[in-house]
Amino acid sequence: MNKGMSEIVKSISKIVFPFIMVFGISIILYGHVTPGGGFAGGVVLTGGFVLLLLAFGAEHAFRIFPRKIAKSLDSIGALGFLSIALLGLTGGMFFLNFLPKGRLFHLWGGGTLLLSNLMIGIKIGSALFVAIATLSMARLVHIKKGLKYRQSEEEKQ
Amino acid sequence: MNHLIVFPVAIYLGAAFLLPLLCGKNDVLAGISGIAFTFLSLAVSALLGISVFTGGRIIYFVGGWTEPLGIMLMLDPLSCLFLLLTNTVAFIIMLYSAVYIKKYHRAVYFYVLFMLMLAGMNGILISMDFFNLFVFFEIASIASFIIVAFGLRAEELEASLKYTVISFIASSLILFAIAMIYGLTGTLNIPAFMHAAAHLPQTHLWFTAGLLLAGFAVKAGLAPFHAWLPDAHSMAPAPVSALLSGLFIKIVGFYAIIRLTSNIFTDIPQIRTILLVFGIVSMLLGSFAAYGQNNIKRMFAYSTISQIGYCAIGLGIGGYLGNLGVLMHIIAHAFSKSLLFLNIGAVEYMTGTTDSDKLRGLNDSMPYTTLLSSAGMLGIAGIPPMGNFWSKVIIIIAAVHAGYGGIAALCIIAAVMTLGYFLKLQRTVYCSKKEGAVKKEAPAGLIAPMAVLAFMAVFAGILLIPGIREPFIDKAVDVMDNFSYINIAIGD
Repeated sequence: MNKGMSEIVKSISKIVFPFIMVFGISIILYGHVTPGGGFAGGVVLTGGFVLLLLAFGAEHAFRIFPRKIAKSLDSIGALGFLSIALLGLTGGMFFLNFLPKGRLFHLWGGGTLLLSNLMIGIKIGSALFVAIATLSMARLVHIKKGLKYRQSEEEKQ
Repeated sequence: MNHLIVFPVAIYLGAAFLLPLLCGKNDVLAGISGIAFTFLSLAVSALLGISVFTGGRIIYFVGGWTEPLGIMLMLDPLSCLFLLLTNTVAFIIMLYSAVYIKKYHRAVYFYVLFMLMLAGMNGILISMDFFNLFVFFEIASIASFIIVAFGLRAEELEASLKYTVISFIASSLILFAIAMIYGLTGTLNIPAFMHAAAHLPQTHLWFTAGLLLAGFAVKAGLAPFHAWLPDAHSMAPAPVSALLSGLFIKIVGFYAIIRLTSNIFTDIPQIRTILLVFGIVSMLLGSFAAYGQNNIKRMFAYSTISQIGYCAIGLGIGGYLGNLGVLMHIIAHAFSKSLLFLNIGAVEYMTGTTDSDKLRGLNDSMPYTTLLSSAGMLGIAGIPPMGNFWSKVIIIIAAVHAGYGGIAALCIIAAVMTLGYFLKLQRTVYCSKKEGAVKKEAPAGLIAPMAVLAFMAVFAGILLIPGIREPFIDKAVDVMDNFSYINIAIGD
């Protein structure tokens, strides 16, 4: 299995990884008051996991963020967003911002927007990770098939 | 009551993301929940149908935000007719798929993609905003690209790639048109655009209309833009072919063209002339090309191109008769073409091939399937009691009334050609003799949904009986004749 990159890359990634996570989460949470939001923050989170995947190899990355959990989070994020929209019906309209608005320009200042951004962040973060992980797996399968093909060719000779 | 309008989309979107969580690798549970969700959506659209056809159009403001900030949704008799048609046929196809999909691995993802396609299609019908329309087009189209390649064989991947590339070119044309609309008028809401468009130079409007027409013509599979259709529709799994041919191209492509011609760009009658040309070319080209096909599914796909040509001709003629013919043809063709694709799917399920050179004597081995196939084929060819006969007659009468005698003659020629290639198929594949044929009928789970579709295809003409026609289909035709989005008051 892939052992990952050199020691230098590994140690730097280890230091940088928590900062990337914090940055992504802050972009998600402050999406309604600053530039960014659920999608941008989710992409940053995926970037952190992809860094792990490149630096330490797929096995390590999947130990920290297992693909099964990523797949479930993908569905949960989408369903959460939909249920926030449906909960608006309790206040009288689909997608109604039914929560108290709080103080303007603060974290709790947008009612359901914070929750919606959070759900989009979860959805995008996990879905993109699954997509990139699947692409890397497809390449592994391809290499293995190629090896098998080459071996059988050599056996024939 | 009004709140129900969001549910046809919400149910399918929720189902698409709930299924992988709930069912995992349990295909039986996935099938049952798929049927349950489609039935739920059918029930909701029936309630909406009662509300719209008795009480008039529903307008909904998402989140309580009114125009120009918010998103408007609208369901009027025309879109409601399509909504009912979509959910009815989708429910029947879902019943069929629950049995059929055992052939494939990972059936859960099939249901997920199927639900996403339906969510996109239902979304197109309720949205009243150019960008929302585009988003729902893309949801439906991208799900369909993946589901065409569901079998993962080389030719399926090739068909899917071709479909993806051509369809994305269409999407970029549509997106370019939307950018033009936003740049020229500063709004994407259709009524607001209509108000602003009154002051625009004609050339700008013509350019926008041309881009939109080209994009939607690709999605509808009209003749000069049809290259993706035979591949994609013949390589997809049978229930998906039925959905794509029976409903998808009509909603994603043709419904948008109907709205463009009759409700949005009413000041540009040249669109109708262009549609007439497209219609004649697709009708004849589809019929001619269908003769040369060995793969039966491919033949049906070319037949779809030819039948969508009839719809374009009807819309190009316009007027009460032309519009009535278009709607009837869409309804009847949705039933008969879905029936045919499900039917050939049942043959493929039992014999493993759709090659007309290899299949012989199906009447001896699969009598019920053969009977149902003849119902579908006679339907599409337009033999008197079937729904398609009435729609074709109405379109031909409309052509004669409007002074297009030549087009009426071409329509009759194409109808005879349709009958010709279906009879050839019946003669060689279904009713020929084969030595040592064993009776090997498809399972009842495949036969029953087809029988329901056959019943509907035969009795679709009932919609035209006076008394049933006035409260139902006439209201939809009235929307095509007299409605313009400019009549919707904005800002209230």
